[in-house]
Amino acid sequence: MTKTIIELKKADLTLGRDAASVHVLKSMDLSIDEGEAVGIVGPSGSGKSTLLMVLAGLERLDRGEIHIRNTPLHTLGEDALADFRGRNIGIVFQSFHLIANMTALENVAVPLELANVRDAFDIARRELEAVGLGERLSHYPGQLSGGEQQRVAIARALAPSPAVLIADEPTGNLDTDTGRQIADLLFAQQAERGTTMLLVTHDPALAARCSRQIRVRSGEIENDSTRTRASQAAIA
Amino acid sequence: MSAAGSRPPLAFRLAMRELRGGLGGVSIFLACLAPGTGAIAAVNSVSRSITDAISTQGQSLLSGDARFELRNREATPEEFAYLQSLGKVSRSTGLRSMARLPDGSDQALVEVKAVDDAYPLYGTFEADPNQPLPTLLAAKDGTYGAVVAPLLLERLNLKVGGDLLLGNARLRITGTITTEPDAVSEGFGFAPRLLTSRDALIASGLITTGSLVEQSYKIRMADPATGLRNLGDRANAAFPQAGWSIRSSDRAAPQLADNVTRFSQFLTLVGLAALIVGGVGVANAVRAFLDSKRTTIATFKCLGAPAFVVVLIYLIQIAVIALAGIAVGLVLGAIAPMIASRFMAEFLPISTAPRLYPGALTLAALFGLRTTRACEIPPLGHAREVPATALFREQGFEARRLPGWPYLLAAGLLMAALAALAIVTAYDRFIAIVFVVSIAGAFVVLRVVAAALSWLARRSPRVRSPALRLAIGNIHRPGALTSSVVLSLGLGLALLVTLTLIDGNMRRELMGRMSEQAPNFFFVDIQGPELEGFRKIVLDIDPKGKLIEAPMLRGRIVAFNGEDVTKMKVPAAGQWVLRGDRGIT
Repeated sequence: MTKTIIELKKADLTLGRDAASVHVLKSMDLSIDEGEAVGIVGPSGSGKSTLLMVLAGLERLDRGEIHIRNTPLHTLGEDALADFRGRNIGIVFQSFHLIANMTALENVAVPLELANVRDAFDIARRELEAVGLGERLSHYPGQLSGGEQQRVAIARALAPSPAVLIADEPTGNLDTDTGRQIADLLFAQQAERGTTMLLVTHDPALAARCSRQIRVRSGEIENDSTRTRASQAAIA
Repeated sequence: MSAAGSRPPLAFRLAMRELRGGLGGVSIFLACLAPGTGAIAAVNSVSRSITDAISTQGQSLLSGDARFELRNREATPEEFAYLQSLGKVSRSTGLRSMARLPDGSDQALVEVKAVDDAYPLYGTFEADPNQPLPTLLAAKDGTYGAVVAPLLLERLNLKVGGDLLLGNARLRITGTITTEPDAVSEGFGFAPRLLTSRDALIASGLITTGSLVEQSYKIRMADPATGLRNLGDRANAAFPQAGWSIRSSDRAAPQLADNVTRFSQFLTLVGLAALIVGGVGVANAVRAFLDSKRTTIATFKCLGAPAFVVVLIYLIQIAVIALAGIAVGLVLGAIAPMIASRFMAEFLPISTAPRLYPGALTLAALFGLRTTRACEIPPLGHAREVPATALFREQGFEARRLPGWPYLLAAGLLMAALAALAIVTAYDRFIAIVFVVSIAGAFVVLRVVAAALSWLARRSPRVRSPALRLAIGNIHRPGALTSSVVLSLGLGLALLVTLTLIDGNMRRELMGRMSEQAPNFFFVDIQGPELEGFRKIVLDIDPKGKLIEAPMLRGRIVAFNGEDVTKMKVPAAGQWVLRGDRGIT
């Protein structure tokens, strides 16, 4: 039996002030089960990335509730949120965002060290080996290709064994072949670990590889493949 | 193990890892800190090396454990007997006179010092050629030996072996003075030194009634610690009418020590002003440094770093960079006394051993650290507010706002601590308070000027030239450097103007008044019987010249408004008036 890991209730958020304000999330309801791979698609400015930020505990809701692993994120303070994020949420960015003056091994170890994991560097080494970079441990980001940097970023996101993996356009800065390899790696790791993954992308093919697709438009969920399937099943 | 317990070392590790990329981009930071810190360290180290030398080499600088000085008279037999009861006595006589070439072709003012065979009781008198002083001063065929400052040889175009006339005595220059151990304690001379024997001075005929001479009696005691205890009180009790000036080796050169301390305080404030001007640069450099780290800061936050860990990471990094800048300044300050001693040797006959002055270096480091801390806190407050969400949006960071109140409060407290340090360590606290208030006032005025400039730029009419439009826009746009530039330039210029005005005022005070009121020549020590002859000489030289005469005698101030001056509390700046004889006209 599947278990709900993320629950968004009447999530409402406006960014900016006065004339520049934008109502980004409009009373959004969303429920995601453990182990799901959810592709979030939609046009630019539709609220996809903001939804990810809310789910990562980086943006606070104006109204509504967000629960991850039964923890009410909307009630947590800044430092408690940071701690929760470090232990439960891994993030992969479009531009990798590795720390330039740290080696691949040190980059992967950072979230573990912040979570006070004792054998942080051993785990980091295993994670890098898992993404095929066992020979690149002491390389700095500047000495790695784009694809390799994204592999390090994936290893860093997965190192603390997060319950939720958030990926924001993970192949957006990569060529087609490298992008495919990275996508393969992401889905393989997600499947192997049973991690819940939320993936924002403009690439329909990549979104199609997810078990569930959500289309966002103007701060609202325009289409949810799970609901669509459920209603089709009901009609059948 | 709790996460909180492990955080400081983790923040330190992360800070050090991140610094691995080097200190690129922080050279401005170092350049802002090192000179100000170095100036304060150097000024105080040199000052302390001099005052330490004065206090530790007191016996040598005074050429005795104690010195009794009498103006225009010798000690009476009773007084001399009393002095001899204190220890071994060396007598010397000092006066200012003209030394003439035997053919009368040239002459020069000299500071004459006539010593006995016991001189010096402490320290070493060195001459070139390096022979014993009695040998150099010995008389031969009616000509007395004399050693002189090299400057006198230059002025009279003489060489060692040449002859001079001092009054009625003929002197042969037997060498030049290399080291005169007690020169500092006798004050700065107006003319080159001429050292000869007491016999030569007596033969010169310059010591007559009314001659302006200083009679010094230096004493070497068997047990200085006991002998110096209450020496002044005992001597004055034994001879209340003696009017002697008594100085002991623990304060061999009080005026010099006070002047050095006073001057070093002034230079410390100048150094502090440089540091504060540099502090604006530090704030800008820290801001630029943290701006370049915003993506990394946001990444740390996304990876689960609490805000205070992020602040700690960059606090440590900035501290490391600041310590590097301060260390450079301290090295400069530490070697300053060694460099200065080479130049000072020409003016001050004190040997300053090459050593560190921890107090001076600590003071400079404290000034450097507090300036850095006060200037880095607001940018760190901004760093704390860096939104991690910017990594998702792949867009720039929002315009900077004021940091949170705890950071503003901390910056304010650190500024207050810096001001307090400047005031507490100052020689003259009133001047330090004026300095601090002036700096604060300058800050406020310059901020207002910067705000007014931005306001004017924002409301200026739209111009057609794109270059001018961009330039005006850059004055008021969010994140503009208007405030920093106005502050840096304004404070720097204020410092330069202040120094220039002080210099100009002092010059005007000296030169301006002299040109209006000062006579062309000033003659002293003209005895009554010589007066008529002197008037005739002056009239012969310049019949239209104006000669103003004033009778003069020497005396001591013993009471002021009927009150005994020995019982009055006289400010340090005015104590010289009561020290020994004064010329009274």
